[in-house]
Amino acid sequence: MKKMFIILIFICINLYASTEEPLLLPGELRLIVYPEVNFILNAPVSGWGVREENLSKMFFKSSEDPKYKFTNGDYLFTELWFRPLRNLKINIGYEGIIGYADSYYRPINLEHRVDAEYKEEFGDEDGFTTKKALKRIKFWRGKIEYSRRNLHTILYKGYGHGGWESEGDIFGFYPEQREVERYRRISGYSIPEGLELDYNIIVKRRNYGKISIATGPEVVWGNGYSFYFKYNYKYRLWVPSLLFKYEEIKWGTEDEYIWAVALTSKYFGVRHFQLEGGILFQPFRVGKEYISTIPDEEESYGDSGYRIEKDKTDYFDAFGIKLIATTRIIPYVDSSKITYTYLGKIAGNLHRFEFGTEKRFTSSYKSYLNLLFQFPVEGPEIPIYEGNESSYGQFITSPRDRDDPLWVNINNRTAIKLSFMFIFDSTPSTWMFKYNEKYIDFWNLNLYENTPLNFIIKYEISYYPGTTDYFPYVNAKGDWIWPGEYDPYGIKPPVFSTAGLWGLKRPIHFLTFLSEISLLKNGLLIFLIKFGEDIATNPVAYTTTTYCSKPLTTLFDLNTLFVKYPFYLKLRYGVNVWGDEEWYRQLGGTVDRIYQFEFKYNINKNHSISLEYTGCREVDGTYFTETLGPYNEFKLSYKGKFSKRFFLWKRE
Amino acid sequence: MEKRVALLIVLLLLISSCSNPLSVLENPTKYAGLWKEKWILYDEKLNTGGDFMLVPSDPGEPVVSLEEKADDTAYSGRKYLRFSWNGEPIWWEADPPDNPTPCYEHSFSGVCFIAATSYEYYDLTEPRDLSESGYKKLVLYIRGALDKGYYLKIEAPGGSAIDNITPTSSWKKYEVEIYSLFKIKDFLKIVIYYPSAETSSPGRGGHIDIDMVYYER
Repeated sequence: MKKMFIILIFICINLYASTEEPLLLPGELRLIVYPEVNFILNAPVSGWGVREENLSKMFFKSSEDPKYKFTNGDYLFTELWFRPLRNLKINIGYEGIIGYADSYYRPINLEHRVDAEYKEEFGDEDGFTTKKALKRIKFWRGKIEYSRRNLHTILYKGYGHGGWESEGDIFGFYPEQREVERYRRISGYSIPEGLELDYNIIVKRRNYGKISIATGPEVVWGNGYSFYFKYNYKYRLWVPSLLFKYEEIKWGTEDEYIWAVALTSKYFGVRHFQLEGGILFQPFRVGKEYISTIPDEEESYGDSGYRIEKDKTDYFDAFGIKLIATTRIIPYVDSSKITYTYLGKIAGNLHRFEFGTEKRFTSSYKSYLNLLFQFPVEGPEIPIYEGNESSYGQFITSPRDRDDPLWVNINNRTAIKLSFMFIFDSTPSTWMFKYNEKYIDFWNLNLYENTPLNFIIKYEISYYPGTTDYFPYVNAKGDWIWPGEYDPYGIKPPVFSTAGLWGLKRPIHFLTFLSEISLLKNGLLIFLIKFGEDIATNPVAYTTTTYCSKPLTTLFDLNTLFVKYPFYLKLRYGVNVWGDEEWYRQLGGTVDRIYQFEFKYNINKNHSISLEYTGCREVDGTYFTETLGPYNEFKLSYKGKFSKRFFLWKRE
Repeated sequence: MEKRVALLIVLLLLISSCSNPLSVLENPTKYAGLWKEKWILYDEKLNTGGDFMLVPSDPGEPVVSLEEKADDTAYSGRKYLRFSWNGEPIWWEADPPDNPTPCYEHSFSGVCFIAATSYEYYDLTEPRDLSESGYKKLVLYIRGALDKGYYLKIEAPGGSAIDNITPTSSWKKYEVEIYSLFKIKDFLKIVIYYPSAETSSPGRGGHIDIDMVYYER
C-alpha cells in the first residue's frame, strides 16, 4: 500500500509542470489529478465509548477511559478530458481510495463504505492483487457532450444538471440536481445519471420551438428510470410549453411509475403584468379507495369528534392549475408576485396562495415580504383509536401510508408562513450572493465582496395548525423509508410515531442575521447567526419520548468566517442544532452543543492545507442521538490539483 | 454596547436551552372511547401499532425467520405470516431470572406480537392497558409442518396457553382464553418447542403460517 502511494505521489510531482487549467482546445487531452491526504485524531469525551454500526458511529456511556485514535486516509481523484472535435467533449474520472481516515463527523460517506466493503472481503490480508486494487477504485464522474448550433446533447453520470423551472416547468416536472457530492457520499455511487438533449427546430431560418428530453436510470436522486419531455414555442408575446414526465418512483409500490402531462404558458401582452399559468393532468392511482376523517361532532365516531368516510379517486382528482401574475402597479412597492396553485387530490392535493413583494428604498437598501397560505384539498387521515388515552386498543383510522393514493405531507399541510427580509448592501454594484438571495449561508456568498459593511436580517413566522399523513424520507443510504418501516441506518433506538407531523399550538419564529465587514486589507469578516424554533420534518420524530428524537428544537447557531487570501478561518458554536446531515432534521436528531474550527491556508490556487476541529457535547441527558457524539476530533488535510495537457494533433 | 451584545447572547442561549418541544406541539391522536366486538391484530397487515419480536433473538444466520407471504392460499385475503425455524441452536440472551447465562439453545423458538414499535424499544415501552376492552378470547388460524418431536404453543396475555399442538397442512382455528389485559407488553406469543432438547440433538424444526389473528369478547 505504501509503495502504491509513493508511486502516485511521483506521478503527481511529474504532472506538476502545468497546474493552470486552460479551456480545452480541439485535439487536446488533459489529465487532472486531485490528491487528498487526511489525518484524523479522535476520541469520545470522558465517560463515553464508541462502536461502529452500519458505517455510523454509535456513542454510549462507558466507564473506560477513551483513547485517542489516529487514522490516515488518502484519496486520489483522477480524470481525463478529451476534446476530439470542436463540438465534442469527453470526460471520465475515477477515485482511488488508498485508505480511510475514520471520521466521527459525517461518517456516512463513499470512502468509508468502500473501506468497509474492502475489509469485509479481504480483512487484513497482505499483498497486492488487481482484484484488491479494483475494489478501492470507484467511478467518480463522466460525460460525453456534443454541441452544434441548434443541438446540445450530453450523456452524463455524476454531473449535476439544471431544471426546467425557467422554461415553463411551473409544476416542477424536471427539478435541478446540483448536490452531486452529497448524493454520491450518501448513496455510494455517482448520481445523477442520464441523457439530456436540447434541439431548436429551425427550418428555413425560422424557429419552430425547442424540444428538450431528459432520460436515464437515475436522472433525479432517489427515482428510478425516468423520461422527461418539454416543448417550448414562442409566438410573439405568448410562450406556450408542453411538458411530459414518466418516472419510476422508489417511494411507491414495487416497479411503480407516475406519469403526468402539463400545458403551461407565459404571456407578456397585458400592460404592467406578466402572466403565467398552466394546467396539469397526473392520473396517479385512479380508482383507488381512501379513508377521510372529517371533523363532525354530530356524526362522530365515538368520542373522536371525527366522521369516517370512504371515497375513491377519479380522473377529476388528477387535474391541477397554477396561475402567476407579476406586476409593478401595486403602490409603495416595486414589484409583486401573486401565485395561486390548485392540485387535485392525486396531483399534489393542494390549495396554495402566495404573495411576494419587493421594495427598494435606495440602491443599497432592499426589502422582501412573502406570505404563504396553503391547505390540502383532502385533509389528512387523523389517527383514531378505540378506548381512551390511558387504555387504547385497535386503531380505527391511521395516517395514510405507502399504499394510499393521496397524502398530506410537509409540502401540502395546512400552513401560514410570513417572512420578511431586509438587505443592506453598501456596494450594490458587486452582488453579495453567488446564486440566489433566498439562501443565506456561507456557500451562497460572494467571498470576493469588497465592502465596508453589508448585512441581512430575515425573520420568519410559521404556523402549522394541522397534522399530516405518513410520508417517506431518504435515509443514510439514499433509500426511501416510510414511518414504521425498518431503517438499518435510522436513529437508534428506532422511534415510531403513530401519527403524522403534529400540529403547532402557536406560531414558531426564526431569525437569521448575517453581516459582512471589511477587516484588514482585502479581508472579509462574516457573522451568520441563526436563532429560533424549527420542526423535524418527518412523522418518525414525533413521539412523547424524550430519549431520542426531538420533534421541535429551539436552536442557536453562530458561524464566523474570516477570509483573507491565502487564509481562511471558520468558527462555529451551535446549541441544540440538527445534526449535519439532512436525515437528522427529518428524524429529529440534534446535538446539544457543537464547536467547530477550521483554518485553511492556500499554498497557491491549486494546493491547500487545513486544520479542523469538531467537538460535540451531550449536556442535558435528553433527546440524545447515539450517532451524534459526544466526541473531539482533529483533522489535518492537504488537497491539491495537478494537470498535464497533451495535444493529439496540431492545434488550430 | 459590548455588554448589551453579551447579554443578548446569554438571553438567546437561555431561551434555546429551556424550551420544551412538547409544550408547543399538539398530538393529533384521537380516542373513540368505545371498543369494537373484535380487534383484528393481523389480517393483511399488523394492526397493533407495535411490531414482531423473535425470541430468542435471531443471531443473524438463517436459523429463524419471520416473513410476510402473499398468495392465494392465505386464510383471509392474500397475505399471511410464515415463521420458520430449522431446529439449529439459537443464541439465547435473556435477562435474569429467565436465563442468567447466555448460551445456545435448541429447545424453543418463538415469535411475539409486541406492543413496542421495535424489539429494541421493548424494555423502554410502557405496557399497554387493554383491561377496559373486555376481550376474553384470542383467536387465530394456523397451518404448518413441524419435524417429529416439535410442537406448538400459543400463549395469550395473562399467561393462559394451549400447547402440544401439531399443526396440519390446512388452516385450523385455535382459541385461547385471555386471563388479563392489564399492562401487557405482548399481545400473543407463538412458540415452536422441542421437549426432548436436553437429551436429543437438534431436529429439523419446521414452519408455521399464521393468519387472521384477533381478540374477541
